[in-house]
Amino acid sequence: MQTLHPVLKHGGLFSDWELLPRAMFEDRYARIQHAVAAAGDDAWLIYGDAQRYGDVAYVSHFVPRLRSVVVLVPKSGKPDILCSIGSRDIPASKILTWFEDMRPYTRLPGEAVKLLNDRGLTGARMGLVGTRSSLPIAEWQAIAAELPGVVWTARDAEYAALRRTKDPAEDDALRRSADAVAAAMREAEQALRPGRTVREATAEIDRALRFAAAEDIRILVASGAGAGLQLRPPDERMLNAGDTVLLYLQVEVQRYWSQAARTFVLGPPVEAQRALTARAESALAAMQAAVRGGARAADVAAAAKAALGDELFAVAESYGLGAGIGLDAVEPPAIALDSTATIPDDGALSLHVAVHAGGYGAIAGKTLLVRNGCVTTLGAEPSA
Amino acid sequence: MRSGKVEQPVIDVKSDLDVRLDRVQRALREKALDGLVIYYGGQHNMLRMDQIMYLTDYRTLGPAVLLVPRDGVPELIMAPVWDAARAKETGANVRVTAVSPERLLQTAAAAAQGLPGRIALSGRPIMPLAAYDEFMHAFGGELLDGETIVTTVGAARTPGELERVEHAAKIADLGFEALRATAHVGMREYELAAEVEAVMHAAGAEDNFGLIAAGSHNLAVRPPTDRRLEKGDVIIGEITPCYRGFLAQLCRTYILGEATGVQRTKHDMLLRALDAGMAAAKPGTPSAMIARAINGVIGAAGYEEYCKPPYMRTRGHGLGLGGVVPYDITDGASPTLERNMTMVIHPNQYIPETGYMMLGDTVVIEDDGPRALTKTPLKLFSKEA
Repeated sequence: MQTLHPVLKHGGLFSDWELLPRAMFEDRYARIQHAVAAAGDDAWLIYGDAQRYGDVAYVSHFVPRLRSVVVLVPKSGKPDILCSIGSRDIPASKILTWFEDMRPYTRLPGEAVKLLNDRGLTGARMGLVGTRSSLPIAEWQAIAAELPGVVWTARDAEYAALRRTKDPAEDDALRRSADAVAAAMREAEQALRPGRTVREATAEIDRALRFAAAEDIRILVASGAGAGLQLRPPDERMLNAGDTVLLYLQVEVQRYWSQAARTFVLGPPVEAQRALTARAESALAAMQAAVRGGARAADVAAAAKAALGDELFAVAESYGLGAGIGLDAVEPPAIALDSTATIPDDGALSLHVAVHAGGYGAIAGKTLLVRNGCVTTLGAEPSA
Repeated sequence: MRSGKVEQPVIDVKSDLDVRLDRVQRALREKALDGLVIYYGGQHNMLRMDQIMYLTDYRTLGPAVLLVPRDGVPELIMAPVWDAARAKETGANVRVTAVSPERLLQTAAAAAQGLPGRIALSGRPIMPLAAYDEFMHAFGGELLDGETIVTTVGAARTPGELERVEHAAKIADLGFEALRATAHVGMREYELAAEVEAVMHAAGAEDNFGLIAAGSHNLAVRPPTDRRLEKGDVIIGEITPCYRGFLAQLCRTYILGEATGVQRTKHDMLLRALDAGMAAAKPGTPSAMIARAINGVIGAAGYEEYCKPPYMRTRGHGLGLGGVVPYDITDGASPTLERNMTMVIHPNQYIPETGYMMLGDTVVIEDDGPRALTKTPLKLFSKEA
C-alpha cells in the first residue's frame, strides 16, 4: 500500500546483532561476490535511498535515515559504503552496518568517482543495482561522464534473485516487526474512542510502535459514519460514537517491514457494516487460502475477486491487494490479476482488502510467512 | 501518554494559495516562460522545498507532477487514484488528474505537451534515471532549467505559511516540555523520542525531523538508539515538528542530573553566540553575517578550530516548507535576508570539555530583526536524576 514518506526515519536506529547476526551478512556478501564474478563483472554498485533501501540493507544492514547510500561490492576483497552524511555522523552510522569502511559524502558523483579510482576500477566492468529506479539522473550523468572507461551493466535481476534466498534469521525479524504491529492494533482498541481526534488517537498507536523500537511507522485511516471514505494519513477529524474507523499500519523494525489492517466500529455495528466487514475478511481469508509456494499471484488475486464480486473487487484492486514484504515495504510479487509472477517457496507477503460500498467501508490485512509449504500469519490474528 | 494542546490556527488557505500561484506565474512571465513542469518524488526532505505542496497544499504519497501554465489553472497529475479526494479538497485552484502510478509519467508528459512555447522543468535533481527517461521520451521536447523559480518566489513566508510555521514552533515547545517531563534514568533513547513524538503528534504534527541523543560526551546529535539513559547524561534534542507541511525547529540541551560548572560556562558561551547571531539577522544583510557573528563569539572563547566540520555543520538553515532560502547559514553563504523569511539559528557546537551542546530557535525575520517563534526559555535545562 502506498503510504506517506516521512522527512526522516526518527524511530530507534540501531542494530540487534543477536536478531540478525553478522555471520548472516557475511554469507550474503560471499554469495553476492560469487554472483559478481559469475556475471563477469569486477564489482557491483548498489544504490539505495531513504525510500527504497532494501537492496543496500540486504548486504550491509545499513538504512539511510534520509537521502542516499551506495555500496560497492568487488568480486574479491572488502566492501565500501558511501553515505550521504557528514563526517561527524560516521560513529552513529557505523552501528547500523557490519561494514568497516564508511565514507561520507555531500555530493555523490565526486565521492563515487574517487572511490572507483581508489579501488582501481576506472576501466572496470561494473554492475548496477537500484540505480535506474532511484538514482537521480543528474548524479548518474555526472558519474558516467567522469568514468568513460567503465562498462556499466544493470544487474537488478541478478540481485533480486539473490534476495529471494531467505535466511532463517529473517523469519525472526519479520515476526518481531509483525508482533509490534499486532500490539499496536490492540492499543488501537483503546485509543480509538469518541471525543478525540484521529490524530490524538493515532499518536497513542504511534507511541506504542515506537516503544517497540520501530524505525519507521506509516499509518492510514478512514473514519466517519460508515467510513465509506478513502484512506488517508491521520488528520484532525473528531471521532464520534458509532463511527467506523479503517486502520492500516505499515511498520519497520530492524529494517524489516510488516503490515496489518483492521476495521473498528466505535459502538455496536449496524448490519450493513457487519456484512461489509465480513466480506473484506472473507476475501482476505480466500487470498490466504490461495497462497502457497509456487502459486500464481494472479490466482491469489482471483480468490479475492471471487469472494468480493466485481464491484467490490474494483475498489479493493485500486488500493492494491498486497505484495511481497521484507526489507522493502513493497517487494515482488505484486498480488494482481495481471501478474505473471509466482509466490516464492520461502518469503513474506502482505495481503490487504479495503472496500467501500453504500456509504460503508471495511478493511482487513495481515502479513504472511511462506516457508517449506507452510503459510503462517505473523503477529496475533486480528479479532473482529 | 502526556498530552499538550495548542489551538489550531484558522488559515484562509485558498487566498494564500492564490497568492503563491500568482507569484509563480508572474515569475514565469518575467522569464518569458510559458509553463513550468514540477516533479516531486514523494520522498519528503527537510532540506528540499516541496514545490508541489507550496502550490497545492497537497503532500504527495508518491511521485506527482504539477503543470503550471503562465496563465490559468495548473494541473496536478498524481497517484494513487484512491488519494485523489485528499488532493482535491485542499482549496487550491488546481485541476487534479488521478492516475495509477504506472501511468503517471506518461500522463504528465502528454499533458505537458499541451503547454505551448518555452517550458521549464523543476525536480531534475531528484528525478530517478528511469523516471527521467520515461518522461522525456514521452514528452519528446526540450525542457529549460526551472529549478529555482518556485524557491525564489517562495523565499519569504506568506501570512498563511507563517501561521503554520508559528504553530509548528508551538508544537516544538510542547515536544521539549515532554522531553523534560519524561526523561529518566534507565529509559531507552528511542523511548524518550517516542514520548516527545507522541505529544507533538497529538498536538497536530504529522511528521518530525527528530534527533534525540544522550551520553556523557556526545560527538554530535544523532538518531535515538537502544542505549539506556544514565545519571548525568547530556541529552541533546533537535526537535522539528511538521505542521501541515511546514517545519519549525527547537534545539536545546538537557542534563539528566545537576549541570556542572563547566557545562554551565560553555552553555553560556552558546547563549552569547546565539545573541550575536540574532543581532546580525537583519533584513538586507547576507545570511553569512549570522554565521560570522556566532563563530566570532565561539572563536573568541578559544574554539576557532571547532567552528567547522566535523565539530559543527551549519549555524542554521532556512526552514518552512522543507529547505527554503537562505538554506544553510555558513560564513560563506550569500543569500540576503528578507522580511518574513523563516529559519532556525543554532550555534550547536562540539566543545572538547563538554561534548556536543545544542541551542537554537526558529525565527521569522521582521523589519527590526528576528522574532523567535519557539518560546522555550533560553537556558541549560537540568534535573536531579
